[in-house]
Amino acid sequence: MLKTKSQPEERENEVALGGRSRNKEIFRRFLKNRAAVVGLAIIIVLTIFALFPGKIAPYDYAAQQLRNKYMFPSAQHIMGTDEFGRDVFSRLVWGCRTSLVIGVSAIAIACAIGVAIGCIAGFYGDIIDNVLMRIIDILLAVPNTLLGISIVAALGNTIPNLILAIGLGAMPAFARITRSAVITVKEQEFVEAARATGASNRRIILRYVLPNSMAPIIVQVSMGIARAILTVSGLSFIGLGVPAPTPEWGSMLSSGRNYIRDYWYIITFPGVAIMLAVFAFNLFGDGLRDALDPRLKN
Amino acid sequence: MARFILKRLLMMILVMMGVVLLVFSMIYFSPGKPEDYILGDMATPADKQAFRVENGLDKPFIVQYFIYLKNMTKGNLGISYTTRRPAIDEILERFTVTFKISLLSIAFSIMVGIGTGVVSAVRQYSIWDNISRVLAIAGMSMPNFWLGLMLILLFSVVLGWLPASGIATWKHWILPAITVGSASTASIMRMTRSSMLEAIRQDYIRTAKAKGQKNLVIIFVHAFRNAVIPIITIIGINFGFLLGGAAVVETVFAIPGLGKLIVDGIKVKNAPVVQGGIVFAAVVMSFINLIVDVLYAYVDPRIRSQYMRPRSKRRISEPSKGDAANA
Repeated sequence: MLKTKSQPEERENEVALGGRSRNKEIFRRFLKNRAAVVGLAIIIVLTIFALFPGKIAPYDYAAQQLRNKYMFPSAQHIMGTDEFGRDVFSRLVWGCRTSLVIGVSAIAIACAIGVAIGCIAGFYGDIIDNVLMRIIDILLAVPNTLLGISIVAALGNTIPNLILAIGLGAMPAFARITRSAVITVKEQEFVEAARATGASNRRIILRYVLPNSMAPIIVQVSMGIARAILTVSGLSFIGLGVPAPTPEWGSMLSSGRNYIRDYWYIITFPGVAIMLAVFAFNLFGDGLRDALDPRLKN
Repeated sequence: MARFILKRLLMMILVMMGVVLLVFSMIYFSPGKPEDYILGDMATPADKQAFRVENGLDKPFIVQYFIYLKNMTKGNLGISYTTRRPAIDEILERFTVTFKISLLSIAFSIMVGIGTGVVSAVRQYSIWDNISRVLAIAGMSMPNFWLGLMLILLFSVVLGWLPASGIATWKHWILPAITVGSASTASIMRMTRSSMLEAIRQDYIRTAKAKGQKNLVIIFVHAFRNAVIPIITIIGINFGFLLGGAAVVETVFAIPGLGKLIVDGIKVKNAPVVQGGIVFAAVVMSFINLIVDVLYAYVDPRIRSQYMRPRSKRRISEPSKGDAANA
């Protein structure tokens, strides 16, 4: 009896030690991937922009200088000015905060709910799995953009509602990914050993199953943030996103599109900013996936 | 196979009831009343009450929900508050446009995505491979409405080759199709590349090479056929996304599609059109998923045999009551 009780403990220690060296190995593999490191570097720069926009932006994002409207990029306004004479670069820097806050918060919500549902469905199986997965199917059946549009339209276009709308749209992917990872992991011997020692289901899920199912979830977080940034800019573009005058990349594009024929720079820079941010999170996610599971790398 | 399709169809009905409940609740419990938007400030309380009675809005939520479900089975999605036409007619009219864009986009994505994916895999780490990989990840990262604006800037404003908005001639469809299809082209390319790379490393490819088969035959007959399943999956997923993603692009090109109908409907709380449009899109997406699953079986004999096997096994082991017990 004593012997069987000590086995999972040993396994636990082994997993913990193995985890540390495995993390080092993953980190080493990640650093070898140049594209992923570039992605990480861009994310760090964007995070600095989002954390200290007041220190980086040369002008107030809302300051209108009607005499200086439609100014071509120059030393004074490196990305030019918009139809109200506002500095495009300053609005981009502040817009970075809006996009990242919405993207990261939405994915945090999606991840928390999705992983919980996926764990419960995958671990308990049977009727619980069936009911939860049918609810997920309902959310998956509605095209993501349309779901976002209808939630925002129903609740109103404020930043918390946008976070909720995008989070709910992204949640099913987390539930499905977690569920399939959990189904594979729960059949492993160490889970059986933990069960034999009388560990509660909650402990088995949180201590053994979830930590070993994390790889695809981590990758999905990065890819999810990329998609969330795209979705929020799309919603803002059609007038259902961040309300004015808060600067947001999608709404900058939306207001600038009317001047596309004469002032190309007003819509070019916000688009490049969205693309760079999404590009960075995609590269980072790709790199993480290759580092976490080298078998997937081709 | 028939049983599988039937089971999926039954499941689809349940899921659709859930979708209707979800969309119905969101519109029902959202702030603001449709009569305020539709009738305007000048309407009297009596006018508003008459509007509510006429459209069945005076009934309790659950009654409205079941009436909607019942009417839905007859193809009746209500009457549009703004045009007073049946919502289903407006939806079908607009859906035809969205579906056409989606079809053109997916055709573009399949041609370009599979073509570049195969070349990338066959010439791994070559300059073409590197360029197409970077372009693919850029394509996935680009907001499609921005790409649309950039294409308008280049092909309509600067070069003057293609029209910027509307759907009057075939030329009008080119830019929207490329815009909507950009992201799916990228993901189809990436999937084709990775599954082709896996396929061309298999033993049967070495055997085919040893037999002296031509390279083109090896790539398309031996490798591609075995790499096609994940590619079909990604095409199916992307086609579903296109229907939703077209909503934003339709705004860029001023195209009267389903997405624009829903967005315009939401602004005036035109519930029958919004509910009907979203449910309709969900039904189409579910059918596409079903078609993709059935396609697997036709493309891959291994999957086809999975559908057949349980039946033949049962016949051998339990000839008399097997089917009933497993039904």
